Amino acid sequence: MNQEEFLQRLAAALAPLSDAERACIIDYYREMICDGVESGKLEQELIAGFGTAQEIAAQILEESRTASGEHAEVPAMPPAQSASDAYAAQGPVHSIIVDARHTSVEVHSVQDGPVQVHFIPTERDHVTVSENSGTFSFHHTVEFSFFHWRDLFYMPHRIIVDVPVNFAGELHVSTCNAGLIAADLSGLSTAQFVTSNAHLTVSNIICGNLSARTSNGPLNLQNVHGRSCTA
Amino acid sequence: MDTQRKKGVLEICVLAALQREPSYGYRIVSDISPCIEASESTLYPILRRLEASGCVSTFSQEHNGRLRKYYRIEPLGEEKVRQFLSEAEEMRRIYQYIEEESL
Repeated sequence: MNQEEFLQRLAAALAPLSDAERACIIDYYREMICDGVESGKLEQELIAGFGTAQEIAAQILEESRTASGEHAEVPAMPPAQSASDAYAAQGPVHSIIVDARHTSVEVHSVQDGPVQVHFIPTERDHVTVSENSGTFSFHHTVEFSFFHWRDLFYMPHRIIVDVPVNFAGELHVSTCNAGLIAADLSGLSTAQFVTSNAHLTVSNIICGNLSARTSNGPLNLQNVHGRSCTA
Repeated sequence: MDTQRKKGVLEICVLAALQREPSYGYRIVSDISPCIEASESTLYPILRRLEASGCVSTFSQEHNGRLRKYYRIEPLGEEKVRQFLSEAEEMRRIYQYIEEESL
């Protein structure tokens, strides 16, 4: 591969970066090649020594991700973790989506403060939080291995969702193989609670449309008021 | 070498290579190569980080009809090298302990 071809491939692989950052990197490698050739090295050898354009780009993109805490590909800002276990929304929220796996979820009402999710992840948990045009999303999944089944039963592992009293939007909470409890929420336009193989308890809720679903487990609805309810 | 440990010492090695006088990418790589394995690709993020944190500053100088980017160490960078060297005694004690316990 010659210099121009390598630099073109590298520029293409660095597309997610800003023009300025990309130009910096191209200049850096161009300079390396020039200096190397000047010292008597062969252009082909130098380029082969850099690694592939894909490898270089992957390393640089990974660095910029961990350094700035911002994802180059996703335009929305990830919400900050204010306390050690809280993922809080930064801006106004009209839709809350909490999607978890094998972990119980409790939804509470809070007097003030932002929409927040409290959760302490272990190495086996993968959490993605994003906030985009008023939709706050908390996605959780967990890695399984035979050795850790025990831990799931003994760890006090749960997700707590704080919904401010004045929140009047949509709330979607889902998990599986774990209990879901939602209480004291009012003013929601739509609420959806889904789990499986576990109990689902919804109490003291006032909302427009409520849907609650579980399988192989008790479904308790107490003091629920609203326009429509599917359970 | 362990990746995390390497990342840490590589930064200090780059700073050390700049202590006497400013240098440029290619020469930094060849200067530190005898003591620690570092490719041009591993060096780029390190130089970036050092510049972003204020440990080094950069300037361009003409060389054979093209512009070459030079890196110059800043007081913050010099302080990092001093701090690393001041930890040498403690590091030696740690290595000694680990060696003795491993026999």
